[in-house]
Amino acid sequence: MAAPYRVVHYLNPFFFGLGGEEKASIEPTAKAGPFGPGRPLQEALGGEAEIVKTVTCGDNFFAERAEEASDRLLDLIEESRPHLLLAGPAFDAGRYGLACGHLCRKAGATLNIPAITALAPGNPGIEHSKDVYILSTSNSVRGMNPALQDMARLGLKLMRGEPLHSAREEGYLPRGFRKNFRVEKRGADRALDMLLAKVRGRAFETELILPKFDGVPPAPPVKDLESAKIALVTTEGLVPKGNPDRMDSTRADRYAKYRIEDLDALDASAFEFHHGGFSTADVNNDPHRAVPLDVLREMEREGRIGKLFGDIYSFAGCSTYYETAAGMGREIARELKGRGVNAVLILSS
Amino acid sequence: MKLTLNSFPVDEIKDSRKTALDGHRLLVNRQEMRDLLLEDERLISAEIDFAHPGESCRIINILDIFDPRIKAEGETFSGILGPAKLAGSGTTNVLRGMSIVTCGPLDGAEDAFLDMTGPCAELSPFAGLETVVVRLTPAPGLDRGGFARAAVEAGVKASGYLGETTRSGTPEGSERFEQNSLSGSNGRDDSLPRIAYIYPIYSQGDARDMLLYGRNTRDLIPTLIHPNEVMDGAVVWAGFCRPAKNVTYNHLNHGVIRTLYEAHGRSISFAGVIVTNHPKLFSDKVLYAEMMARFAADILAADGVIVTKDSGGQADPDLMQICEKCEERGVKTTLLTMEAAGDGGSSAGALVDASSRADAIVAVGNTVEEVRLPRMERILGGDRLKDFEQDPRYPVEVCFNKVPGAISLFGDNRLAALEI
Repeated sequence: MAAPYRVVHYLNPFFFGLGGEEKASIEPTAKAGPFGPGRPLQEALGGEAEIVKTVTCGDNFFAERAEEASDRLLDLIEESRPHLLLAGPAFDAGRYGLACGHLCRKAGATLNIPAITALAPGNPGIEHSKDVYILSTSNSVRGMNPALQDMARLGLKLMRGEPLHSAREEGYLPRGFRKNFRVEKRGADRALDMLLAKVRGRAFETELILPKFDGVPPAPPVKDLESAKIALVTTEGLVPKGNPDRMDSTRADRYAKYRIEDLDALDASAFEFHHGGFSTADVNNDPHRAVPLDVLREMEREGRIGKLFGDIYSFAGCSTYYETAAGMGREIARELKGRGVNAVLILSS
Repeated sequence: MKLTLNSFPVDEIKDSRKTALDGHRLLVNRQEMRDLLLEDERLISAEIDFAHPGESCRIINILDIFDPRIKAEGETFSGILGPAKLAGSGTTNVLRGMSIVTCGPLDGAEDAFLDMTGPCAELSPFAGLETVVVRLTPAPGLDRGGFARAAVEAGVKASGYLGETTRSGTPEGSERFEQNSLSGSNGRDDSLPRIAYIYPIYSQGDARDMLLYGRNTRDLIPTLIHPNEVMDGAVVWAGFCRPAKNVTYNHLNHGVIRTLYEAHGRSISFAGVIVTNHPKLFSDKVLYAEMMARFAADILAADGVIVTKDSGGQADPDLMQICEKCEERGVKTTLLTMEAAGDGGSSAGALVDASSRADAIVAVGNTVEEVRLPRMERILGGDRLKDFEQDPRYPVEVCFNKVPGAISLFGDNRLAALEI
């Protein structure tokens, strides 16, 4: 009886058994069944999955013509209608590792099957870790057996559709996502364990590695305020009464632009604030507490500032994702620069 | 300061003509309880219902969650109904295995979902408790702040009313809590590391802050508080439940304080608790962090501190400032934080601030991960949802932060947000 799951295995010609460096340029090719490390890998998979085909390609050929190589390999792989692609392990072999990572990524994207490779931490192939399950290996082939066991274990889980635990628990490199799990210890106990290790100078591992945020160097001062064109941007969630654009009060992912060109003041009957992070009662009673358009118009008339830009940009700055906010900021800045704005008054809550 | 918490377990709640504790059964005269709450003219109705673990029942419009308790002498929740007196000593009886959930139509409150069965029950410890639901309706014309305050007082009264059933009973268990910062480890092993706790509480304006001894905390500056004061009702939620935040129950049964007490004299010496709010101004965040680092280093002589937060977003700079100022003074820090991972759970920007000194973080959960809650047969707490235009009984996709108790900012459950 055929095994329930079909697996295709990718090896370079050396591990395939075709020879060493002299075979580094051979074209994509395939043979039925497991070869080289594929044999112990088949043992590790047991009767539940069968390595139906092994594909290979010279490391140099792949390095020089990656798209062609992977497309041709994918054709060979697809013929077998596999449930899973396993590649390597490639340990610290750079070209081989890059080929494994590249092929696995494309198999995931075009054939829509899970793909796993196994690389040493310094292998350049780990650049594909966002899209591919990459298991960690030792630097040399001495780590072959544990690597094959890990590949088989994770591969079977993926084919069965079993839920995976965290990257750390499953042994693959983090792909850059976070997910909630139930763990053995309560958060407070984990905190005390971590703190005691830190106090005693022992090793500990944080559960969250913080990103480094960009610093924004302040722009040089506006030389001539009397002739400057000034725009207003607010993160206070200013909206026309009734919030016609249905702007979010938290986690905004877009901004709105409202015309203020013909307004001398913001009437509380026409505008309100829609913001999930502070009590808006006071600013709703008098929007000028947040957006002092009345005073700015006065300054404009007195000639203390040149001209106010015709639109105000607005969204609720409340738990918006960093990358989303950075994107909105870049877009607003580009637009204002294009319209000859010299300075921006950012009104925050 | 010595506090004894007596436990009276409850595993069944039933209607009765007389409110009493009969073994593990709590009998409740709902009419009498309702009449007590309606003595407050700010309320025009108070419906009392029971929800049981495993029942197909969804509680919505949640304002706060309490446990029933009574002090042998003196006022529980000091400062809410009468003049504030120092909490944290003497004997307090607590009904365990149950909670009181107050509900009502408070403007600005977020939707909260507490299902007594299904995925929600796996996420929230509150779903595993026998529950008395108190649904309040404000008198016409009562403003938001007025209703929020009336709801707090109703919760405190309900807690005391049911707690009163333990008055003449015999507890099944008893815990003693004693900690004295100034005399080292209470005469125990002084070589143990001294660990303190920095405890910021939510404080964002009207009906949006915690009460300390019954008063608003938006102008609170850092101060020392005894852990027993917290466990004995000095800290109460002032308004509506933001489901990802701590409700009063979480402060009464504080995960970090209990953990530090359990380790006290064994692996650590519990050096003390510093309470603060999350100030609005950045300059205050820096000032408060410096004050607290000085308390931790110079007054509590702490080797390390655990730091929690009680809010998202603007609480993150507090965490980072506290971390930096403590580490600069040689006090090691571990931070507990929930996070809002980006689109699809992307790791980037889980917090809104970051310090390179923050190298020991316990990730208590990703608030924006979604969970699908199935249809529930019975709805308590209100008739309609606020932000979802659908029948409240229907299946609904919600984020973890809409389920009270799913994410514990005080590390009181086993959830962790981890890399995948």
